[in-house]
Amino acid sequence: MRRAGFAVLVLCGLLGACGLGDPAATPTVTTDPPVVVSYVAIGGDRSGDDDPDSQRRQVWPRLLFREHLPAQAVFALLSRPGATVEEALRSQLPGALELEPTVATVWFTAGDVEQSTPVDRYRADLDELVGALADFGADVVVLFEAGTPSAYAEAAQTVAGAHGAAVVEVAEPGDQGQIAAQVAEALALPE
Amino acid sequence: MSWRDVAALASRNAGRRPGRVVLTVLAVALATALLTALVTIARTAETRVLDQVAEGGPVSGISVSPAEPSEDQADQDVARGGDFRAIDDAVISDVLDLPTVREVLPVVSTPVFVVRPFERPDGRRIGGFRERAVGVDTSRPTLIPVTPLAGRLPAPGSMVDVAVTESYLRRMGLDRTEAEQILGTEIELGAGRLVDGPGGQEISGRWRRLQVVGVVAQGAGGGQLVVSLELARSDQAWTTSGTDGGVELDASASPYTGLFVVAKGIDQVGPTREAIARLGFASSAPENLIASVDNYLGVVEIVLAAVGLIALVVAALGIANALLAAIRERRREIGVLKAIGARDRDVLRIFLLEAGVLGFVGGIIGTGIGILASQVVGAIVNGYLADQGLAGIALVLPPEVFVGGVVGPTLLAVAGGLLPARRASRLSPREAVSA
Repeated sequence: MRRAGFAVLVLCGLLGACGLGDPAATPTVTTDPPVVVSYVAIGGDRSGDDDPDSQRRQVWPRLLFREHLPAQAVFALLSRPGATVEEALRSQLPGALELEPTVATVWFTAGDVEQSTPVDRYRADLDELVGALADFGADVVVLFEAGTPSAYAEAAQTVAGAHGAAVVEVAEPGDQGQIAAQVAEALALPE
Repeated sequence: MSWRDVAALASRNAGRRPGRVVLTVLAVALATALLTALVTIARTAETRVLDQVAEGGPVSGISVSPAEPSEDQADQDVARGGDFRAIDDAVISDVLDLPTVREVLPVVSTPVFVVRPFERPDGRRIGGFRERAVGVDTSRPTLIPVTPLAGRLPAPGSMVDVAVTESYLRRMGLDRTEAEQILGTEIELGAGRLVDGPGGQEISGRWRRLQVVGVVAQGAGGGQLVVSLELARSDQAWTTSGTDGGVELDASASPYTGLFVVAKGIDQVGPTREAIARLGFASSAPENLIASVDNYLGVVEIVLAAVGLIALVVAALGIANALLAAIRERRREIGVLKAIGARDRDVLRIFLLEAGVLGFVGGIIGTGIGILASQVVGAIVNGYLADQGLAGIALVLPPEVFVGGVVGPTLLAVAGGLLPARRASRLSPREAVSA
């Protein structure tokens, strides 16, 4: 009996030695769900540009993407300082639609005010732009700065209302974190 | 005389001199342990070295470039590429159809911008930088020619996982011993593309947040970031959809920027590379280097095995010596056995069985000790490698070690016992009894 026990012990030792694992083995992990959020920032106001080395890495669309959107989100900052809605229809909207956006932010007034775009024209262009995004199924947020000439501000609100878009009136344009938080709130995103 | 009687007599004889038996078994066990440990360690070292030469991937791996081959391509370890030639799904299919090919792993390397993290772990600010993300099919991790240092590779199809290389660690002010620190940190990565803007051509970025899930030892395909194939293809498609087709940002026009082809064996690497060249693509493989290293390692293994074998032969001589002593002591008993009818071959069987059992028991114990010793050495080496920030080694236990470790000493012991046993069997009863 004792000999048999010894034999079993030796066999177990040998089998145990055979079972050495690979220390560098890659653990099994599950595949992530597909991308569910595609966010595009369109505009000509304080959305900032896309210079990777500049302080503008802290612009509010990037903060929204970084701090409020889920990890799987992709983001494109298409806005260009000073752009008008008419320019954006040509230079920003096609790229935005190509990204199949589920979330879009739109902030135009400064460029159009500066270039004295007629309000009707501004409204029509903005309607076309927001409509295209909304028709695509994106949750759209239209922003305008407090102090914007009332005709433009009203036009922005009217267009947003017509397409079921949320509206954010930015009181502190310099506070990027605050703008991101306001937009997140409008989109009912976690803080 | 039956085998049962032979066994009973052999065990009784062994029981008379337990000290001598124990010492003889111990000599065989130690010799076997030495041989087992040396062969196991030599095999493990061989695997490790070849693994390093092959950069963690299969030793029969071949890298295929999106370029036409030069005339002397098959004789060169490095790719001698000519004009650009795209690698697409049809090419993958053609390569897979080659009879010497086991598997094909497509690779996509694409230019990216990294804007985050903003600072290194030591607090120093770092600017955004350009890099290349290398996408591979991570569902087949053993094929990928990289060695994980910490963490894991990105999950297959993941759009949020990234593994970084040592170069990235250095950029963050860390060395490989601090690789764990980088795990779980976030990278903000953008694929750029050239678009027509109001002021001319502009670069538009599409950004992702990726979490560092692993650190790998080698630079992967010239990039510091290893991602899933799906992510790299998505970003490559974005970049090449720019107005210049991605040329400005150095994106490849080839759907796949490379293939990693695994041949059906190291001896099939050459023929496979020739076949790939006939398909019209340049390739590279460290086959000449691996062949040289393999030859040197083979010599080392032979030398180590010879050392163990010498020890085993010495142990067999010890068995012969012990049996000769036993015969001298038991001449009278041998004479009595013969006088009552035992034949020469019965006496031969008694002593050969005794020698065989000593070798067999010594072999089992020695093999066990040898494997344990290898484990201890492996643990010490792994501890050292971990301190150096290197990937650990897996002990290679060849099946022949188990068989050879038991059968070898048994046969050697029987061979060693043959001469004394023959001498005992040829003793005449009168000569033996009168001794």
